[in-house]
Amino acid sequence: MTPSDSQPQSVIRQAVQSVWTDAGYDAPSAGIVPLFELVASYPIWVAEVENLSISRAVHYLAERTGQTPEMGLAGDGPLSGFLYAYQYRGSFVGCILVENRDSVVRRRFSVAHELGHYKLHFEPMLAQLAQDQSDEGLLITDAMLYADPKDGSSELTSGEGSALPVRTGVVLPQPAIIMSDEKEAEANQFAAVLLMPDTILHERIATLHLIPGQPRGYLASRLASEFLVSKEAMVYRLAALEI
Amino acid sequence: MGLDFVRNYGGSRLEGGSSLPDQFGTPTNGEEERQQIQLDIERNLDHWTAIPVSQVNQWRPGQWAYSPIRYIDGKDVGQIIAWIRSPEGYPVPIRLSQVGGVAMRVIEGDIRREFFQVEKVISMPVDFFPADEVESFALAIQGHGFRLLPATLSRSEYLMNYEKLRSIADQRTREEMMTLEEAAIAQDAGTPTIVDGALDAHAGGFDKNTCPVFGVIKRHYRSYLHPAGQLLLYGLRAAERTPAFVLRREQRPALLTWYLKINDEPGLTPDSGYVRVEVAYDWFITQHMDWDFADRLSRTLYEYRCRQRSYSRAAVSLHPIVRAEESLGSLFSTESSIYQRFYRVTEI
Repeated sequence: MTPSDSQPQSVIRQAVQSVWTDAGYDAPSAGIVPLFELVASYPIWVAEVENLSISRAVHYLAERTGQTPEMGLAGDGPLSGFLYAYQYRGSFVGCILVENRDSVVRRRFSVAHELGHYKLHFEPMLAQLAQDQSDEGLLITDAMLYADPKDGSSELTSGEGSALPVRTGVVLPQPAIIMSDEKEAEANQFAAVLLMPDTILHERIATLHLIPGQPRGYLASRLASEFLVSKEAMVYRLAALEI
Repeated sequence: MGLDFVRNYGGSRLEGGSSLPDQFGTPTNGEEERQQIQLDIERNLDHWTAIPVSQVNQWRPGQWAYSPIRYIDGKDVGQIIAWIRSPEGYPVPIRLSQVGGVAMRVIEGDIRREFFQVEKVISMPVDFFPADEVESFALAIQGHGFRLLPATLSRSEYLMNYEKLRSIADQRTREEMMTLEEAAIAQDAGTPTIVDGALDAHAGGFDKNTCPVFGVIKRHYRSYLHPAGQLLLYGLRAAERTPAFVLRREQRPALLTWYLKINDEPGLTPDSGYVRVEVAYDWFITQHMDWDFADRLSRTLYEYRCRQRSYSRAAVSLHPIVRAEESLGSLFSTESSIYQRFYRVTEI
């Protein structure tokens, strides 16, 4: 396993498209993205946990799997999202946890963010191991932190995570790949592209009678509820699309 | 889950009696925040006297470059039509509404509808519920022409207070109505425009530095004036205004504002018949306006006052805004048919 550089936009778009394809869709449908239906096409379960932290995640996973999981993460501050994905010789455990006291739109973003790590970072590493015919397995974890722990509404996040090799069923603490800021940014971009598909946004905007050169400050509010995302997330997305 | 969401959480109909009075201009319009009021911007406090606006000689509003020819209004017709129980068992209201925004244009004396958007929306506090179930419900009602407006709140603070939840649902609908009004403004924000309500609530529809968009506020929940100014306000005659003053707020654009009496017919209460006009102060400065602007704008608004006595809020209304409201009303479906549709699809 080697850490890769920041993924180009095309890779993120391909990963998002594969999510739709894996769920049996040719392309995104108009309106709210059926996020939980899309996630359901993967062997990952999603749960909402109160007071989510790494220790809460350990506790939850232990209850759910009957085994105390390795995490490869330090710290125990409040989290908005958490990904645990473990694979070794056909055995797989995949779980996304989100803080259930967050707003619904924030929870959806957290789920999409963690799915982004799974698609962008976990799957390629597994594919590489398979290609190398390695006996190793893989454990990947990601903890999505609040930019401001007091503000659960903001989706401005940072995160920390790691990818650890698994040999003979044992998670090895080294060499660990630490999730970089770039990878967190990629997961955020993945979430934005997934929840607010550019094709659908452009179609929608075409029907909103937007006049060139006229103010568009209201657009984010207008579209946020149509896509069941926060206004803040929509502001960023529209800016990224230069709309 | 989908449409079963309502039934699964113990949905109950709530028919009749929960319709709310008009809330245009309530204190939630940002009027409660801390602000500095500069009263001596046009006149020294010692010289606050009524300023007649019908004395602008040899001039007709239609000949003035800044005469507003676009009028923006919104409408929110709806009520709490059902309630469900949160997973903890607390009642959570569901508000179903039709909301719309419209732009009317005055063309050679005619008032024509220029633009409108109308939507059916369901607003409710949703953060108590699992996100996958809320998403599924939102998707399902989307298929029936309703849009879910998630009303976000602090869970621990409000869950047990039904009245608070109800007001949050109401407020969320109202915000959406104002977003539609902003969309209407933005269709041609470079043309002089009057918006029904506070400018702050419509800031997403225009550029405060370059767009001649002015607010007219009919309800007055806060007094900005000094005692002499307040007495002056109560004593205004029709077509008179107070001197202008400036409201400076934290993190919001400063506003130039004044009161204008548009109706002093006998029988009105002392605090009726006047509106408060708002102009973005930055626009006023960057466009090099003077107090003649305030007189002319006031005169134009006075000319457009509602003279339709049968209209319940005629004393504080402008005719084009009344027409806008009527125009939007004609685009709405009957309330009962919408409510019945919701009951039918959710099977409650």
